[in-house]
Amino acid sequence: MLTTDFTALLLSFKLATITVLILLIIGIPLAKWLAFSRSKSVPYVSSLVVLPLVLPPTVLGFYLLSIMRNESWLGSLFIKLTSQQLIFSFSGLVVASVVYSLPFVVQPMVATFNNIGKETVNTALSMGASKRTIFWKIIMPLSKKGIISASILGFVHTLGEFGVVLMVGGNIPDQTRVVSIEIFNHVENLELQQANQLSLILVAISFAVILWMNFNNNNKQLIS
Amino acid sequence: MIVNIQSDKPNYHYQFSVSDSGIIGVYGISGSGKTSLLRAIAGFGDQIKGSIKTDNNTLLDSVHKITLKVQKCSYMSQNPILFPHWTVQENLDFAETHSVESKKDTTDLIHGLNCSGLLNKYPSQLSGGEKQRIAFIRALICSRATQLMLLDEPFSALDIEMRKTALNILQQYRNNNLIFLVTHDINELYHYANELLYIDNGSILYQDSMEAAMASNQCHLPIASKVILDEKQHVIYADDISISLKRQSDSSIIHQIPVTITNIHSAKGLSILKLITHDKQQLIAKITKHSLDTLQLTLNQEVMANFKATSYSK
Repeated sequence: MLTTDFTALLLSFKLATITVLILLIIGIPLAKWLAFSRSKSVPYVSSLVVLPLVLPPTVLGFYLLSIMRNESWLGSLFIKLTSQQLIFSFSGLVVASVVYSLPFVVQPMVATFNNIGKETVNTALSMGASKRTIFWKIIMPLSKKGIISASILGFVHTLGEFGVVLMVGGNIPDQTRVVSIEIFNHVENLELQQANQLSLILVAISFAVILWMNFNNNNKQLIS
Repeated sequence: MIVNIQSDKPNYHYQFSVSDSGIIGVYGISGSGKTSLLRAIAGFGDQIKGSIKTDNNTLLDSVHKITLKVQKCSYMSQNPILFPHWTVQENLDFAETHSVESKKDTTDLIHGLNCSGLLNKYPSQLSGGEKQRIAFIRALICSRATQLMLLDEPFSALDIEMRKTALNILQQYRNNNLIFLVTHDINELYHYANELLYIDNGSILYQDSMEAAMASNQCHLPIASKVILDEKQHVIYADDISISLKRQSDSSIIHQIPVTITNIHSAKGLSILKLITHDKQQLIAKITKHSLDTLQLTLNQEVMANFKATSYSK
């Protein structure tokens, strides 16, 4: 395996890990709200969360590019804070991956929380338990498997993402050239053996993860 | 408690007031809205308008923008929810932690409802009846702190003996708690409830004391007695029993049982008589006030209870 291939793999793992950690912080409260809230805005927010699932990556990439470009409020704020541009940087990739993988993490979590049910939460509330107690002692233990599955799904999805990454991050070695783009480069240069090696690694990882989930998760419907 | 609530989905409008303690029997056909009422009081329902007030608290007041939240109460549905990742003991401990602790009372309840052998089991290992018994114990534990019990067919999966035991235990809590008890067994309500809420099509059709409700012609309550005759159990409806002062040899009715009158309640032209047979079985008879007066029936009087063979079912 080439050094550039190894670097691309490491970069992809780093991107996927950071993305999943951020998605866990954002996703758990968001999914809990979507599953248990009585608010009328739930269908609207839910639709927004699912949107990246159905949008073409180029469309999503284009809008992310527009939001993160140096002239935008987000792009200029980032430059002011870090003296670096958000677009075509690793940080930009993280933002894009978080948005793109959001439904892959949040939707299985919502399904898991729905399985627990409002009635379980209402029962605990009626007993006088606080929302904090209910979250930590009832919701989290009961949704442990679902959250782990959602995290793994988000990790694998980030690992394989191509379109949005290319639009937002470009193809900069050591910074934004993740494994999927490295495979594309190999194919473009007709280096099919290297492309095959990297592709096989992704196939093996993805298959192992799905197999693990099938054996360990009772929640058969991961994406609802 | 004063309740005046309405909702479009499910469609209902309930308006009634009850005292702050005692057992309120909630009765009506399936789909009449009994569960909706209990869920609304518990604060489980969405989009409920109106007001729910107790002596100390306003739970809902749409006019003053006080929205309904989940109330601290002992709510129990007929498919009770036990937390599946905890054992029975842990489920009860959780209730105890959020109520007034009384380990001795809890232990007594566990023994009383024959649940000692279930403590280390998980809810998935319990039968429907066992789940109901555990959920009932949990509801009683919670009632120490809430004084409001909302029981939706809580004993539907229990056998007759266990139902009696549970109802006798529940009766001990009526003085300190306001208990709404939904059941399809009107006889149980007659024996245990203080008041009846008769629900039909999402509204209160009738509300009164159990005796008055029985004697009322506004709602036809199929109150019946279970008696053993010729070593077989029979269900005899109160409407099908007539009373005579002596055995009638010239009557076509051959089932004539000597009984003693233990209670008389009259209202609106009807009278309900509680009767007891020589072998201590209870019968309930519904006769007109005119018959009561004509026969000059009084408490502790020995009379004959008569019913046709066709009037009872096995």
